[in-house]
Amino acid sequence: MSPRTLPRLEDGARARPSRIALLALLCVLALGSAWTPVGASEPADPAPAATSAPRRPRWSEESRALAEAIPIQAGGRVKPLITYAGYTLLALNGRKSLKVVEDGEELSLTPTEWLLDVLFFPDVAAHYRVFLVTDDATLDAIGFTREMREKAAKADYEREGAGHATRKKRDRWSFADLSPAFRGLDEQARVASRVASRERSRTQQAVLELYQNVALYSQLEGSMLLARGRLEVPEALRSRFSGAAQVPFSAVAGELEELLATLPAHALGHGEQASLSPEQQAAGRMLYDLQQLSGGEEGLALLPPPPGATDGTWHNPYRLVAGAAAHDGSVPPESLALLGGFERVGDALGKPAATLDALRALHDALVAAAQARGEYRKVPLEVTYQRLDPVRWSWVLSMVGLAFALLGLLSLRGGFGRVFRPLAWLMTGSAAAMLVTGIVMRCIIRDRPPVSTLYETVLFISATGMLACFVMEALSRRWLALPVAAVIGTLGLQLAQWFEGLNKQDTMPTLEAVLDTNFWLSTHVTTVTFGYAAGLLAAIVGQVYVLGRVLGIGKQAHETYAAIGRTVYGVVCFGLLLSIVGTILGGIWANDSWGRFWGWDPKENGALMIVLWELIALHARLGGYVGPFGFSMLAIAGGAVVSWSWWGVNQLGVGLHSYGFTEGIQTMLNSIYGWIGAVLALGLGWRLLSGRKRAGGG
Amino acid sequence: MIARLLERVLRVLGSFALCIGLLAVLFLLTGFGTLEQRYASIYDVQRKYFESLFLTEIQITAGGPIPVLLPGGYVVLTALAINLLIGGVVRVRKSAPALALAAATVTLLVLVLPRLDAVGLFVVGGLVTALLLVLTGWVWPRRDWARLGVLVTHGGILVLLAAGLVEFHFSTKGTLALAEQEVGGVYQRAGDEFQAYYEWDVILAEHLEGGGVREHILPFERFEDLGPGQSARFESAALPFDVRVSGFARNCLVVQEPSGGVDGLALRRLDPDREKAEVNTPGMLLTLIEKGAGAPTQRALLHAEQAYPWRVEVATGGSRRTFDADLRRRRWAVPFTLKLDDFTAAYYPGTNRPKEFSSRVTKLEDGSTEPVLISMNQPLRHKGYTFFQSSFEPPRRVELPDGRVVNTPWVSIFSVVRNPADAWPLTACGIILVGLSVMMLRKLGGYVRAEARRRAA
Repeated sequence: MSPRTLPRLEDGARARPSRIALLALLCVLALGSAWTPVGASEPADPAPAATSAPRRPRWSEESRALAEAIPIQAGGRVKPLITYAGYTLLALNGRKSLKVVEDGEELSLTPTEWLLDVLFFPDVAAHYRVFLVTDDATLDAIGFTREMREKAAKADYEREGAGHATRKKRDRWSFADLSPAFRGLDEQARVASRVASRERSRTQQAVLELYQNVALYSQLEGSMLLARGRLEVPEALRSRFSGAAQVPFSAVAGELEELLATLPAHALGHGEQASLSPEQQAAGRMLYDLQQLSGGEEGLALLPPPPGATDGTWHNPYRLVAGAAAHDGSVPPESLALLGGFERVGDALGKPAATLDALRALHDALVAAAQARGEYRKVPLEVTYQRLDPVRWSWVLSMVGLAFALLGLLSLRGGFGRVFRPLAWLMTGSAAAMLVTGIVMRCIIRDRPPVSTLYETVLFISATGMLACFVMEALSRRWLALPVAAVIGTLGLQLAQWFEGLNKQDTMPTLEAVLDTNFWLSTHVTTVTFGYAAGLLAAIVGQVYVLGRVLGIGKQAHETYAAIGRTVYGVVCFGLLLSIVGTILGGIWANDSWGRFWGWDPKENGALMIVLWELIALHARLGGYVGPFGFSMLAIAGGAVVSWSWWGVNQLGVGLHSYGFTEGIQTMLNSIYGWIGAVLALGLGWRLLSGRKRAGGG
Repeated sequence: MIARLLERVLRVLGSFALCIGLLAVLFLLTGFGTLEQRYASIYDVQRKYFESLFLTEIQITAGGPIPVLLPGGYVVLTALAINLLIGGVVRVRKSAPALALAAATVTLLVLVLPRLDAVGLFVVGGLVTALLLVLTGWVWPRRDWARLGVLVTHGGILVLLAAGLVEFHFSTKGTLALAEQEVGGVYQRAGDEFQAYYEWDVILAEHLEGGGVREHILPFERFEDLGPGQSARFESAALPFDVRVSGFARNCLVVQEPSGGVDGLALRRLDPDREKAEVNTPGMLLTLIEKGAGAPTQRALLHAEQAYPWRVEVATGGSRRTFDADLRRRRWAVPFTLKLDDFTAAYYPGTNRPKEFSSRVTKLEDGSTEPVLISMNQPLRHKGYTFFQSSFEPPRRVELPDGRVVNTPWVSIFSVVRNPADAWPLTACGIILVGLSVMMLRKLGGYVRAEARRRAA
């Protein structure tokens, strides 16, 4: 089975007008199936035999920058190629970069470089080890046996001349490595897709994911066939193409109307080859080749629709040609010009200067077409955002800030404190500034308030937590809030990146219809998220209090502890204000969207439980049942309630993305619960013991 | 003596301990009620946990029910309201004028504000509360802002609880489906009534002599909780017989039962749907009983999906009376008519993800027409009724009862709600926001001043 023809498993819901065209073309295909396209460059022979590695020129800095800014429509919105490439590579490889070996030297490719290689040098890219398989039981299941794996690993090692000759249980494999097992993968994926998602085994789920990744990869690989191949013109039709023996895709697409007209109507329905004239046979063959080079229905949607198009869906070569065939067969000249741009890049490959020029021309043409539709405005800013990667930098700065803050804490009275403290302020402050910049950029890119997805709650909570700590530090000057700010930045942004890796999807997705309201996103969602932040901050400051007391730090600093206790109390008070108002606003939103203020659904209940817990803590303090220590303990337990409400209730639902996702989050939650439980047990034990001591001594 | 006892009772009812206990029970109910949603529909969970008097078992793991004894949500919320009124409002009073002013604030807000629109309500509610707080501050001894804030906040929570109570007892919720084209008497473009999600009544429609129909209704509430062996008897002077409902099943199928059953048919019980209680199809055995003596005369199975009602003819005193018995969703009339003009579903380009769906409708009332757009987050509110865009059905090929195969039209589905307390939560939210802000800002001011003093020292 050829890897290119991996079939799609679930295709039911996507009925498009191009279906008819597809049918027509398939009939032509049946008619022409006796021929094979000559011009189309077939995919690399995926046999893992150790031959000398195919070569490709490296992409210059400028070409990469141009490619990164090319607009593409994916996931329902127009975004730059750098975003698309990043999340595609993340989905396949588990991270946004790819290690490859070239000339015995290890290189790290950026997502865009990798995507360009897949599109323009598929023979080379087929050997990139891009498919992350987390458990080799998956490979056993699809019939990629240990022996086959060892052989493939050895062959890769010999070809690359670097790295390791063996692979681990969790490791990465190339398209070529896996190709002998495609039949097994296809069969097992079919089996798994018939099992309800709730009942799938871990391995079945992993097989399905691998199948989807391989299918996605082969779609990518086929997306740019037209730039790499030419169509052969049969003798009978040469006059139509000014005598040329080979012509580019766009030239044939421009003649689509005439080629279709050449064929008698019945030829589209039945393969009555014998009764066709040589010219008709030739036309059938060219249409077949055209379809072969068009790359398939799911190819990258890189072609903005021509001016005047009513449907907002961007085309790929297949949809462009099939869509035209379904109507009158005429492909708009604007689209032909864009196709020509891709072909010229293909022609220039191998010549760096020419490649750059062709890429620039293509980039400019695509950008102009997107601009004409008003769909390019935010793309440059998104390119900047992706290149800057503010979340990662903010995380790094937070860690440096934390180191200085801790050094500052150790040398509180010493002379070094004068050096470390400003540095800690600088680093942590820059981290927060970087994060706020990132959040603002996201708001502008998407025309949204700061929080509209789970991922964004993490960024927002980290940012507000840090800023709140800065205010507390500025007010109290005890050098306690600043280290907490650095801790929040480090942990929060670690969480954000970890979640992004787990979710493997664009973190700026389009929103479900009911969520698509900036009014409620900015009021309810923002307030509730502030409430989460306050609850978590109270839990962290509460731990400073409890652990400080338990570990006996600063035993004489009664006044400091009293102040920390007051801080915990104050943060819980604000948390209550925000949570209660946010929760009621959520109810009001629900009342406006579904007609019920409160429906006791898991997310609502989670928010209510935060409110209830904070009410319990505050009334227990007011009623004199707990002092600062007990209140801190309650605030720490409140951290578990917030975590459950924030992440845990989502786990109750059905049909989550995958085992990896669900299990990953459950593991994180369990470790949070475990940590909080341990702190609470420690605090309780210390309290009981020290109470006895006091009683005994006093 | 009695006064002291009363004071003691009041002290307990208004105590912090009771407050904390009730909040803790509510916390547990909410947590368990969330976990149980993995095993039961939200409708069932709501009835069991939050609308109940007592809770005797919970199912939060796959291992089966665990016996517990907890007061149910209805009891807890009522007790919380009492605790709050006594402990949070009555006890913090320091002077009669202040209390009167604060009470006036809340009353005014509840009465006046529901007449404003959503955002105005929120803003004006907050502003009025703040203004009254300032006024109250002048008559308040020592201008104890924190305590005033407490009072107002608790007032807001009381409004919220009252909204819940009113909604629970006095609201109706249902659904209305309108089609883009009239097809075969099944799909209709205009509607002036909506039907229930959950309530199924038995209707005895009596055909009157001069034409016309009189409906006798056996309400759902009287038989919904009947167990497999239980029955309920309905008596009415207007009927020539009594009626017994037995074998009620919330979700069941009609199956062939050659040996026995009723007319060769029987009901097979199914588990209620785990996710959506509205898809359950109930059924029952309906028996007509002679008045007085109690001997059964005629019986039939009624099922949610039966195509035709059960026709019964009864001879009484020389005349014959004809009844049609049917089990159907409860319906509520709306004092105006909605007609669907156009339904639009937009998707994000190149995906199956809906971007927006909306319905253009015409509101027909007393001979006048008004075009209205109903979309996600943008309902139609009129005369106490609210229509929400809730769902839709795309066209498909179906066979009609008369055997014709047709393409169905686009169908737009609305949720319809009539809730007298619709706007109360918004008012409550404004009140709580102001009350808590006053408390918090005062505390924050104290904190900042204390830190400043410390650093100065």
